[in-house]
Amino acid sequence: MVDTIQRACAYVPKGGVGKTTSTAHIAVAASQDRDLDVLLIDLAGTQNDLATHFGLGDEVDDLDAPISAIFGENWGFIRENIDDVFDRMVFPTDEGPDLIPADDGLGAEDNNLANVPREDRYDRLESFIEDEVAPRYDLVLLDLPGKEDNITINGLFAAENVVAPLKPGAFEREQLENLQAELEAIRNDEDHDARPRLQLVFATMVEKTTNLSAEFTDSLEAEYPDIAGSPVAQSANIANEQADGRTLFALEDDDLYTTGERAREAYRSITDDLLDRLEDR
Amino acid sequence: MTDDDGEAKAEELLKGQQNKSRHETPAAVESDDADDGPDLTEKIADAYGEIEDGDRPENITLRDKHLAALFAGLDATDEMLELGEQAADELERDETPKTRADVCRLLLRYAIDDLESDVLERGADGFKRHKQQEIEDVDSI
Repeated sequence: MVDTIQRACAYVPKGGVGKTTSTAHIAVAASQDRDLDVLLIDLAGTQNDLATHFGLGDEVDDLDAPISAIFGENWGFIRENIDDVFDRMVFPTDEGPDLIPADDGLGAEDNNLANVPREDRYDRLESFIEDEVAPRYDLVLLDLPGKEDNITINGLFAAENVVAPLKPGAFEREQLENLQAELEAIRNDEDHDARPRLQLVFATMVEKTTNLSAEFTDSLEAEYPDIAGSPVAQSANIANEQADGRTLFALEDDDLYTTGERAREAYRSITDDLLDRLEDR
Repeated sequence: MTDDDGEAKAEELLKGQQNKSRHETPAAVESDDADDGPDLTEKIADAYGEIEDGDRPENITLRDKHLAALFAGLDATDEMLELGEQAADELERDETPKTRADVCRLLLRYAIDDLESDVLERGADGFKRHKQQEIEDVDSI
């Protein structure tokens, strides 16, 4: 286990770009290829897409110890009086990483955080990671909501390293510029110490045959040469395996389409890039 | 609260967490400490005015037989004034107590200062505000 926990979050202020899929695949690649102890934390709304991605949908339906509790005023009391509360939050997956799923209380706690003085509002998740996660894991990956709310800023503060998957498209080009501006605004906000930086950006759902995809990936590499990662091919394997509660890494080579193989290799490369950057920081 | 009570309470809080929903949370309220209850300095200033108008007594009285006996004993053994001088030293006040009342005032001030040092300061601020208000009242005539 490394001395200091590495952290990153997937954040793009837009839905449907492959954020959850990418987070899941990066986590598995880090766990299997680099032999790291990896924890995924799903803060991206209440649909629990990450749990579904790993076939844990039924198990997380009625949570015993929801992650939303760490943002509330009672967390200190809960933590002091229930010794195994963290263990009860965590679900092991079959592919290596552990997962803390999202829950219905996140929306309420996002609202409640608005009542908290600004100087105490954004470091809840950071404290949780320092106290509970860092002693147990090498890498923590956060799947953040696709909008800038109090939970998201907690995530940006705790993780600082931002990974941005983007789907090719005219609107998505602007999204990257908007994201850069948003992260800079967050860094300049004196009400908190969050200093998030974009570490990796890559195209997802890339179709080799379309001009749109080619232009999009070329422009990413041209405009962001230091942080552009491998493009991830569009592949039916991804959606099919999601439906079965698995990532591409759960399949044998013979079971993958060519596009699935390319997508899996892209995620391996993206994971290597990300971990190298995290180690350099 | 016993350990078992604490754990039971914590479990109850954890269970309630799942049932929270965004639309049921209360509106955000910005709390301004200055609006939480009456201002001490202002109330002290008001009290000065009431004392000078004769609407409030300027003595503090308390009935306590144990303290009464204690002070009687200290007085009889000439230790009371020494106690008062100690209090004056601690408060860094350049005064020499001569009476039981002097000693009691110093002891009471010492106790307040030891518990909450800014309370006496706010008392002084209250006096200044009262004087300022007197000047403003005269100017407005």
